[in-house]
Amino acid sequence: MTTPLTETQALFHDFIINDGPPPVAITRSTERATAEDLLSIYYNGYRLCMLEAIGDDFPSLKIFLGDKAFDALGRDYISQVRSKHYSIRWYGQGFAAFISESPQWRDRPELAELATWEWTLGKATDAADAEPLDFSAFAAVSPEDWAGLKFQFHPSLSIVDLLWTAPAFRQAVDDGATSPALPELLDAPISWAIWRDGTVILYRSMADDEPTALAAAMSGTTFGDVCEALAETQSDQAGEIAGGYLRAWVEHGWITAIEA
Amino acid sequence: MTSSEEFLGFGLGLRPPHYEEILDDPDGPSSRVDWFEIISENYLVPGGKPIHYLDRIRERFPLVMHGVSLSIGSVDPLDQDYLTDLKALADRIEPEWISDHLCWTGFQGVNTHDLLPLPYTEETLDHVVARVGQVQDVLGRQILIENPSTYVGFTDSVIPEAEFMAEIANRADCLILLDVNNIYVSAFNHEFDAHAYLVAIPPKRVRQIHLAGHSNEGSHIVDTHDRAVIDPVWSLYADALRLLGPVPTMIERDADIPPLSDLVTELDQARAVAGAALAEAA
Repeated sequence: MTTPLTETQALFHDFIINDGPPPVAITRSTERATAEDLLSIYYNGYRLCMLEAIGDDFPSLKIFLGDKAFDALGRDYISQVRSKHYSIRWYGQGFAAFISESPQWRDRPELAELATWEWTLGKATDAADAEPLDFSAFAAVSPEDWAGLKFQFHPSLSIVDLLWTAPAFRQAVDDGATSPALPELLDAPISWAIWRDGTVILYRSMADDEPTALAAAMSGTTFGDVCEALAETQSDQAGEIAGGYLRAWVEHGWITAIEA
Repeated sequence: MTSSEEFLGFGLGLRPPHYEEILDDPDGPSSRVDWFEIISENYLVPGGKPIHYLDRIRERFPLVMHGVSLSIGSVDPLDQDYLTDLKALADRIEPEWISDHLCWTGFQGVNTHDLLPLPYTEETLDHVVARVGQVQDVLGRQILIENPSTYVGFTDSVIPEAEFMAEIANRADCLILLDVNNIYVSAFNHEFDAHAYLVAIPPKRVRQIHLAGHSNEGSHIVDTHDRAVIDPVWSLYADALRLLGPVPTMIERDADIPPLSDLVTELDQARAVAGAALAEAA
C-alpha cells in the first residue's frame, strides 16, 4: 500500500529537523549505499546549509569565537530555532536574542552584542530605498509649523546601544586585519546610528542627548516635543541643540519626509 | 523550443562577486554572456545593494528568474507571500522566464531550505500538476520546472522520473528546465540510464538547460555546483541537443566561485559543444 504523501513528508521532515528516526521503511538502498547513508546526506546538508547562512551573516562573530565554538553555537541555534520564512536571508534574525537567552552563551554578553551589530549592518544593506530630503524642503515650513513638524526617516536607519567595541572589531575584520583587537568592555554604553547612503553602509556614534532625540523623532515625536524634552537638560540651548541635530540628520540623508 | 521564440543563447548565474566587473567592464568577459540567471530569493528584499545591482545589470542583459522556495511538491499550502513577492520582482525586471525545482522544501511551515525528494506516484503527480496550475495563474505565465538531483529514492515510486517530468509539463502545460548535470547525478545515484532519460523528455517543453559541476563521493554524487562541468556531462549535453535542438544554456556555479573570465571560458566550451552537436544533427 502506498504511503500518503503527507505521511512521507512528515517522516522525512521529522528526521531532518527533529532528529526523528530515518525513514528507511519508505526509502531505497542502492548497490553502493544504504538508505540510511543516503538519508544522512539530507540530515547533514540541512545543518551545513543553515550554518553557512549564519556564518555569512555573522562573519566577525565567527572569527571572534573561532570555527569550532561558532559551529557549536550555530548547531545549538539550529537545534532550537526553526526557519519559518521562505527566504534563508531571515534565519539569523533571532540569533542575538538566542545568544543572550541561552544558558550556555548568555554569560558572554559581547557575543550577543557582536551578533546585534552584524545583523543591523545586514538589515541596512538591503533595507528599502527612499530619497532623502535636502535643506530646501525645510525652507517652505512656516515658523508656526515647526513645533508640530514630524519626520520620516530612511528605512535603513537604526540605533544600536553597545557596551562592547563590536563596531571596531567588525571594521577591523572587514579591513582584513589578521589579528583584530578583540572587543573591549566600555564604562558606559555608546549609541550608534547605522544607515545606508546609496550602496555604502555608514555608522557613527552619538553622544549627549542626540540618541534620545533621534529615537523620539523616529517614533513620531514632533520637533517641538523633542525640543521640550531637550530643555529639561539643556534649558535655553535646547532649540539650538535640536537644530544642530536636525542639520546633521539632513546632511546624513536620514530624513526622507516631513509632515507639518 | 518553439520556432517563434528567439534563441536566447548562453548564460551564467549572476553572482555578487561579479557585479562590479559586469557593470564596469562591459567589453570584458561579460560581453560573452548573453543573459544572466538570478536566484530570485536574493532579490526578494526591500531594497538596497541587491536591487541596485539588479536594476543596473538588467539594463544591459536579459534575465531569467530561478527560485528555490516554490516547494511545488509540498503538502503545505503554497506560500502566497512568496508568490506575491515573486510576481512583484517579475513585474520589475520582466524576466524571460521563471523557474523552480521539482521538490518540496518544508512541512508545517518549517523550512529546511533544501530541495527534498518526492516519491514519483500518481498522488504526487496530481498534486504537483494542480499546484503548477495555481502558480501559473498567480504569476500570469508558464513556469519552468527543473528536474532535481536526488540522493535517495522512495519505495513507492512507480513512475520513472523523466516520464514524471513529461507528465507534469504536458498536464500542467508548463515548461521544463533540463538540468543535464542533475540527470547525470541522479542517474548515478539511482542507477538509471541517463540517455534514456533524455529520450523521454518532450523536446517542445524544454526551455532552458543547466550545466554544473558536482562532487563524486564514490557511493553517491552530491550536486555541489562548486567546480567545472566534467566530460561525461558535456557528452550528455551534446546528446541532449541532438534530441532537442538548440536550447538556451547556462552554467551554474554556486560555490568556490572563480573569476568571471573562467566561467566565460567554460561557457564558450558550451557554445563549442552545442555547435558541434547541432551540426551533427543537422
